[in-house]
Amino acid sequence: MENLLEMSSLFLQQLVNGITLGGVYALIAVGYTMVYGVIQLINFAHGEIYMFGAFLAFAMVTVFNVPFFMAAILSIIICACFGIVLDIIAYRPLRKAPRLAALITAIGMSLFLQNLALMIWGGEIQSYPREALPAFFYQEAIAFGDVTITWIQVFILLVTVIFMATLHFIIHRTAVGTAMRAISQDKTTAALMGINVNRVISFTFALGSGLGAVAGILVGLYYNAIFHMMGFIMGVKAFAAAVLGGIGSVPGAMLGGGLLGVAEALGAGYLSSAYRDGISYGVMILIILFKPSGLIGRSTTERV
Amino acid sequence: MLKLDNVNSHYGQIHALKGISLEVEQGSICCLIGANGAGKSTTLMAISGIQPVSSGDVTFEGESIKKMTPDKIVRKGIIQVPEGRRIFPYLTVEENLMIGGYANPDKAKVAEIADKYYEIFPILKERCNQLGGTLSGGEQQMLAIARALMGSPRLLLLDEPSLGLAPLIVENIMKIIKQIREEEGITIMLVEQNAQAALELSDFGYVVETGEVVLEDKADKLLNDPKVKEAYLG
Repeated sequence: MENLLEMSSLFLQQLVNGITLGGVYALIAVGYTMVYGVIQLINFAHGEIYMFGAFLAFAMVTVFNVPFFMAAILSIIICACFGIVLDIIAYRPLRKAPRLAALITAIGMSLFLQNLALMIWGGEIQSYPREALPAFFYQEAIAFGDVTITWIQVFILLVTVIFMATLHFIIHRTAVGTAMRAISQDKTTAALMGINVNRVISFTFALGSGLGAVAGILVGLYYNAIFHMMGFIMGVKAFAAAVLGGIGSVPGAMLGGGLLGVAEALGAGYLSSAYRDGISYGVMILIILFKPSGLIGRSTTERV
Repeated sequence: MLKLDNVNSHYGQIHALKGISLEVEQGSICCLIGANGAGKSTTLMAISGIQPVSSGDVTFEGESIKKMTPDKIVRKGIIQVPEGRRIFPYLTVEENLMIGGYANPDKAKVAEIADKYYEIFPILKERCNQLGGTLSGGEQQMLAIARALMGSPRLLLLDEPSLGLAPLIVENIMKIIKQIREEEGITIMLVEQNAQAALELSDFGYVVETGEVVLEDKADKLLNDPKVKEAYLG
């Protein structure tokens, strides 16, 4: 009996950890999937925007003594603008070029931004100063048996849910969201209906990048680790989440993120935490092999 | 109202439009007829700003629009119903209509126009929450026309509205086009392979062959022209 209780509490604890992590994956994954939806590009620099989100908030807190929440909001706004600039200088000139050209540019931007961060902040792992945050963040919010949920986890979940709900509202209930969906289905006709396609693409980048920054700040808090390669690792995993759900599908990215987070946490709990990354990559490979359209993606046909 | 002056356009190496000149008069229905691949759709895409114009000029009410982006051209009042209807398949009927009104800043007006077309096309009202891709061809054509009208065009470009539709539905669509001109005063430029139906509806017609206008005249004259009869009317 006691054994059973222990087993289930391990399971529950990992489930909670997994959902927290999954929420963060989802926040990043929607950035990949939305951009893919409108311009069929895997924006490999998206992970770096997430990294800059974490670093910018860090810099504002440590260098300029900006209160943490203010710094977070500013960082999100700056990253949203940053996403627009990235599109305009790196991707827009290649809109009519072969897709491979834009993909290579995306990888180039990713490397460039990683090294830029390395130059600015160095290669060491940084963390948000403890006193920048309300003290209760580090206390447990809920505990039953051996299962504990910290306030940071509650905060991460809450923020994730609020942003995802807002995103869903934007995509399905606003004019610009409808335009985003129209562009992902038929760009030429969207333009023929009077949609300024470039402006909507900019908006998409801003939205995805802003959410990426949110995720970066949350992860910086959760793991206490901000470093120039954080975006690369997280980016690949969030991309795996987007592929798992079906690239191009926003609900798919949410589902994929959640599932991947839980799978990783359970794998880390029951097998070994060394397999953590392997699980994500394994899931991605399996999905690409057996169901390339993802769990709820639709198999897209090429339209001219 | 609309004037194309010696318009040339290329797809890579292919010279698709070789000096097309034509004019659409305010309040008229004008048609472009010709075989598949003659350059009719390219002409419309050049007017709408999708297909780049290499030389020559496109003017709308005296103003050159050849360098304008497609969304600006829509805001000037030229809206196209593209070939094959191109309904957004995963947007609902209502969302498709709203996209048509996207460029129209007056949202109250957009809702008013939507109500009007729901009345004219009751089937669209019935299906307003259905995905666009689930409609039949004829329903999609009605939706495509209504969607374009949501932007309050002054010049409506219609590319092959009869394509793939049953004769009875074609007749219905042609009647609707006539109605749009008569009741809304919207000028219409029609591209058709169905030359008979198009000429019967139009005031003026152009015959296009391999990127050039080879014949132009009043539509009733073209209907009786022996060359047109032989080549296009069968």
